[in-house]
Amino acid sequence: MSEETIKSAAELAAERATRIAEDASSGESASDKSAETAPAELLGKIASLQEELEAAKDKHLRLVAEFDNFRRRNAREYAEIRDTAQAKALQALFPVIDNFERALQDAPAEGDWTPSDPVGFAKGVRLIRDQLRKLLSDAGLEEVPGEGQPFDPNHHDALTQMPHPTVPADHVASVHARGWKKGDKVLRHAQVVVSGGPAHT
Amino acid sequence: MSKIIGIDLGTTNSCVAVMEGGQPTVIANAEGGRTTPSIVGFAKDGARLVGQVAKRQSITNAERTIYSIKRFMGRRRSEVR
Repeated sequence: MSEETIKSAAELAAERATRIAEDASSGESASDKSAETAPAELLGKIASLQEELEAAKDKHLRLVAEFDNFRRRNAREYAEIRDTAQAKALQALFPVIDNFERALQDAPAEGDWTPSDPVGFAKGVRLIRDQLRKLLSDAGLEEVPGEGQPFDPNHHDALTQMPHPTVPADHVASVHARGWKKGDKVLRHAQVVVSGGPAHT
Repeated sequence: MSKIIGIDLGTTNSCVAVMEGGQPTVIANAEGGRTTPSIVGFAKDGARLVGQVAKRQSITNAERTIYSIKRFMGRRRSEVR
């Protein structure tokens, strides 16, 4: 392309631009005329929008207040349900304490004492333990398997690790406190001693 | 709408809360605890254990259990040794 043709193209573009600008200014004056008729229409629009805004603000305030009430009522109901459930669960323990009282009625509150029938006494205490166990199992509780099981931190809480002649490494050697679970939920993890395998000599 | 979440990374325990209707609500962990021990363990089978589970196995797996990591954050390995 020669320099001359570039120039003429630039001139053409400039000419077209001025023409467009003129057209635009004449168009502006045309829209000026219609703007004079608009205010009434626009004012109406503003008024209706303002009304809408007020309604929305009011609705929002009401919702916030309602939600606050809901939250407060919910917290109160939650506490009530928790207390009721706890009371119900604890009521089941009353027969157990009754039996303990019966077992100990002959024993003095302090000082040495030997039951007249130690075998029978032990049997009675065992019965009370079984009663308590049944109560727990009726409530859906299960003991967490302990001795000899592979150590599983989801069920067991390792107290310490010690060598053990027979129990393989990373298996439960002994249970310090029994674990309890209800379904998949572990209520108390079994406190266990984990075997480290046979002692190295 | 975007949510606001707050994380307290503690040296021994951590806690996460979310803003709910203008009030912060603590998110409980899977075991129901409102705080979770800041402990991570790597089991011998490669499983990654976090929180209470990691704490319970820490005694049997001391070499592959990390706790109090916050104390070492931002420090070089050479400074920590």
